[in-house]
Amino acid sequence: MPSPAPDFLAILRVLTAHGVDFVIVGGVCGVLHGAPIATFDLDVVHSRAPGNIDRLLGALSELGAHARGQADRQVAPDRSHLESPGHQLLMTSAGPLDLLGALTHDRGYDDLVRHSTEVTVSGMRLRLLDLETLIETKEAIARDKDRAVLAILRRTLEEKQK
Amino acid sequence: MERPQATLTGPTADPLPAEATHSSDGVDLTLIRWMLSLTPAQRLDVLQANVRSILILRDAIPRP
Repeated sequence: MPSPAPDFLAILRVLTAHGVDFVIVGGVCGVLHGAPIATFDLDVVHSRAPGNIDRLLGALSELGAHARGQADRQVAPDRSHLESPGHQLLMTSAGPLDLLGALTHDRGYDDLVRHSTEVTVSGMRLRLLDLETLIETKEAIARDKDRAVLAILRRTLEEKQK
Repeated sequence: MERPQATLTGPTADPLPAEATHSSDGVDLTLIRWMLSLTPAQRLDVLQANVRSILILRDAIPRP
């Protein structure tokens, strides 16, 4: 049986339809800025405000979200998971979704939203981390996988600024 | 007198624009320029198509 491909647009549609406040970060953010990179999951930083957690729980229920890497157990994220600054690595009916309470220990939604930009995709208004801040956070995290795309992100920023 | 035919490499061909194709650190700038010529929705379509293609190719490899 062929592997199911992630459908990023479908996940974004559900999050948007439920009125969830979030900022797209990671590889999909880079692609939306024009970086020619590949990624297999969607990373978003969500607002941890109580009302937003309610809306997010509704969206995750619709997406059938459960924690990845739990073998045969399907453990759905609960309020306490989403209120934490930690990272929830989820599988949904439309593919992998990583929900980040904060990008690094002190960079949650309220901070990142000030460093974001809005784009319209298929009628949805989506908030993306701006490219400068995406580069800055990847430089700060500096894992091998972040370093691997840094050169492409930097050159994309340079080309955009020409 | 017969005129020489223009070819891509011949003396009468227009020179290609001398824009760098790669950065000094090896990044393919032509791909970046192509992606920047697309709308955000088209860029997401490219990503989705790439992921689908990679998975199809991966599935085509026989597993031990």
